[in-house]
Amino acid sequence: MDLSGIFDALLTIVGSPYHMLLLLIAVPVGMFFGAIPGLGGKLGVVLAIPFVFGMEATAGALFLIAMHSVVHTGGAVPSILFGVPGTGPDAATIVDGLPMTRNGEAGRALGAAFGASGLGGVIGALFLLAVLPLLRPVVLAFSPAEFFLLALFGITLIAMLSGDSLIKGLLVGFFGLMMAFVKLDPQTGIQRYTFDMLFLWDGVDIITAVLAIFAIPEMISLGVAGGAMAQVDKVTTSYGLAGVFRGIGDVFRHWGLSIRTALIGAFIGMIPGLGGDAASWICYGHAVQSSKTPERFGQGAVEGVIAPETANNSKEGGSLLPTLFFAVPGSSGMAILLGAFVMLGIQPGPGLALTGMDIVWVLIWGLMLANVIAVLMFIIVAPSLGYLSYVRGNLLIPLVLALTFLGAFLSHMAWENMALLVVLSVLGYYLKKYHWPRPPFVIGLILGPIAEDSFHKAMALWGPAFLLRPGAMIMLGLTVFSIVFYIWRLVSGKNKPEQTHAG
Amino acid sequence: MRVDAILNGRVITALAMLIIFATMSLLALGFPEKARLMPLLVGVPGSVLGLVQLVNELRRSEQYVTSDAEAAKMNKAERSMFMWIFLFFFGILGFGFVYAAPLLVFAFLYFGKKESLQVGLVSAAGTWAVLYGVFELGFEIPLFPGLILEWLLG
Amino acid sequence: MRKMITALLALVLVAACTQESGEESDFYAGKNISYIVATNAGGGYDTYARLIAGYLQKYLPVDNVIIRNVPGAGHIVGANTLWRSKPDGLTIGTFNAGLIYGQLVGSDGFDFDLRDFAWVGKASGEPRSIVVSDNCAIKSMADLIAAEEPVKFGSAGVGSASHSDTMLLASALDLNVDIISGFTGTEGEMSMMRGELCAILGSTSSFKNFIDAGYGHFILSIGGDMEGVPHARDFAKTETSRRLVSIIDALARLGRISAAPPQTPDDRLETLRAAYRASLEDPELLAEAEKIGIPIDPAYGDDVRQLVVDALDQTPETVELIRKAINGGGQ
Repeated sequence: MDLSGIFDALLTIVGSPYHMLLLLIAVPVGMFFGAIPGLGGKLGVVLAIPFVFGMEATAGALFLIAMHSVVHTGGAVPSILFGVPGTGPDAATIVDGLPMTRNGEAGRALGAAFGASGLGGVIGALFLLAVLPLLRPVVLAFSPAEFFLLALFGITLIAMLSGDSLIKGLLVGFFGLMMAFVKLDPQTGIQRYTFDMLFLWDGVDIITAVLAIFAIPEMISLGVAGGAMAQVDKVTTSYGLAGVFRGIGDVFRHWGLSIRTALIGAFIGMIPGLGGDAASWICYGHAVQSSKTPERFGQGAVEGVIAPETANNSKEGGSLLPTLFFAVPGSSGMAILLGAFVMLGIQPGPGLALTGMDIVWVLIWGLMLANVIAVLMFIIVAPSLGYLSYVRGNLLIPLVLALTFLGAFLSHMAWENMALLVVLSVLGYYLKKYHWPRPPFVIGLILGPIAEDSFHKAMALWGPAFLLRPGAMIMLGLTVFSIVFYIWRLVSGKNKPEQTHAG
Repeated sequence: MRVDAILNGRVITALAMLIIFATMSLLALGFPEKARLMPLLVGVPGSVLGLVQLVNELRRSEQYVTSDAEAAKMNKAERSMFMWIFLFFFGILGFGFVYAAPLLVFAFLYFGKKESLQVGLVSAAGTWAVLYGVFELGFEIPLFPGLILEWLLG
Repeated sequence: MRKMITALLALVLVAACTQESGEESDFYAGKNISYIVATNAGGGYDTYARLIAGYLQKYLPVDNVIIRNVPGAGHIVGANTLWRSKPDGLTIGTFNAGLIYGQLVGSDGFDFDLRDFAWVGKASGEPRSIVVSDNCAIKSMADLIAAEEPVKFGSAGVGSASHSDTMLLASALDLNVDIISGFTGTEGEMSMMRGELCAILGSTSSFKNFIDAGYGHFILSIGGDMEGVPHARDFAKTETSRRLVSIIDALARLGRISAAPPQTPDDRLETLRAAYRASLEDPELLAEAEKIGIPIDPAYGDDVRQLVVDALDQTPETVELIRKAINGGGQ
């Protein structure tokens, strides 16, 4: 590894006012895109393409990576304040972020989210650096067999996120899985549960589903109950700067968790095909599992905000690896970035390591700097954001509803998704009202296609013997361990199984 | 009174889940072999669990009798919110984001929640500004124009 | 006085007539054209569309050519949308020629008849090729044909053009293959690198990275000729197989097709075709395409229409053959 090249790249960015200006524009733009549901990720990069088209490769790539890497940072804002996920992966932040807002701790939650995002982004970039030499063997170690078991492992997390009621949690998780099966089956080409509705042929749109299950029920509840998002009477200082710094401090206080989830997120991002959506949920599940007091989760535990947010940002660093060096996008956002890089004249692929490392260093630094700048910018804006949680619900509801419909439409430009939104939101509301845990639904929906697709491929390639592959056995072991661990906790009283609890 | 207590919301939710799983599992039986494997693998246990949960809820339904007045009040508020959601949907479906959304925002605030005219108009204007200014002008993303509007304009 | 009035009237009449013909070329002034792309942003079709759109804007007096991504159901939603769009000359669209297979065998969801689109042209028509991984025991077509164990081929989902092509070719050349579906994008290549899949049939330019990095090599081409690589027709021994090969060949040549909705007025269609041709012949566009690495091999207007009509003009026996070949894989 050429050390001088690394620092040259840094100088190229920091030493050039033009590049710094691009960074300073890209970051707020990226955060803004992330904050509007449905706009973040793919669409955001697409919109930037005309802007960077004529630019010199370094400048253009820098702008794009900076913009893209802070999308999930911005996405945390509506998730925490209103329960509306800015992007798919940010839905995991809602589970504990929203209760924190209810408790009047919006500022702290936002601070934790941004601090976690910043830390995650930096660690993701460092991970990219560290893994480079090991790249090929690691990425190639994941075959359909390992994918299937990884998905299975993710699905066992459903049990762990079930809170009080295991049965309800499993039901909701299985429901998510069933929804994932609604599509034109790629293994047989037949329509499953789609009844000639073309918009479902590619599967239930995840953004629409997430908005329907989380955002709209939240707005309905708000409309029914009245008042503001924060449900404490007095205006505490937690929405102000003090709360924000406390939140940032929390990230470092829980440094073990923060670093672990950042690494897990980067690792998951590195495996193309798993998709970043799963990363935030898997890390959330890990946070629950590794906590000494798991019952606090879902009520406003700050770790529940830190874990998914570090993962969200670190996965971007991880997914640059296959994108740049194999021309295999690590996520759908990366797919567009890939196209954009090509348009700029950068040639991703195995040859890049030999000829284009200088661009790679620029991208890594861009990733890091963008994340740091995002945190700094945020500290300035934070108090006013926190104040939003005290705004009258009446004002919030119609605007959020409009944005939600917009998000559902934008993700595939299909009005039918708005209909799906309405139908699913009815179910989502009653699930919320009667205290059915909702996160398992999202996990099922995300991991379902991966599990099924990988299973059929693995069977076609090796038959049932696919389970005997070393990677598969490791994942299987991890899954079994998780289940055993969960049961042990149940038995030793740390988790309260469902009894006559009011739910 | 007993029937009321039994058919409460919790029971209906559990029943709905059971029906969903059972129906999807039955439909899956009609798929070719590869296509029905996973749906059945998840649907059948799901149906069983749904049944278990339904029984659970039925057995506990006596615990949840709330006062009629409270329940009625909540139901009314919920119905009102659902109505607004459907209105939003049909409004946007018919007339598109740029026109329907600001109108609906205004309607919700002024008529639905009895906010002042000023608040309603400002919010509607803001919504229009964001949708039209940011999306149509700024990004040139054609927002959904609305089925009825499209038909009217030929 | 009367003379003056008659003269004036004549003048007005003449002015009115010339106004009408002038109006057509003014029609596009100040308007926007929608270019429907049947995939999400960032894919091959999208790249071509965005590239061409920039030049259409140059050759037409329009304000903007706006890209509208209408993804879904493997290009079917985009094609349906184009089919239903107003034929006023302000909308064009691009989608996968593989939909021809779907129309031939009568697949679900098709609202359109490909013959009736107002064809504008096509941007490229590169050969499709079989790539074998260096991890595989098969090194050439001779090996493939002689294979006793089924050779593992990867393809995209059942119903996609990639899968149909692979099934058809296997049937046409009587190859002993085991097609594993569900590999989208570059997943297939990664699987080859892991030593799971042996070969893939796909568009030549998409394999560039893979070949350049030394992971595999081409053993067959179809839909165009490649240096040093045998063409599929060399291996088609029977009448049936020759026919099937020619269908795959024809489809491969129809790359990146663009059309306007049916019944677009002829004069407007001509304007569009002229602008499209000018764009694809513009040296600046060619230079940009070269820089991005996308091949340009255009055909225009009625030539494209003829190719489409010919491809769809198959005897019922052939259609049956195709249907059997394509559906043979799904259970």
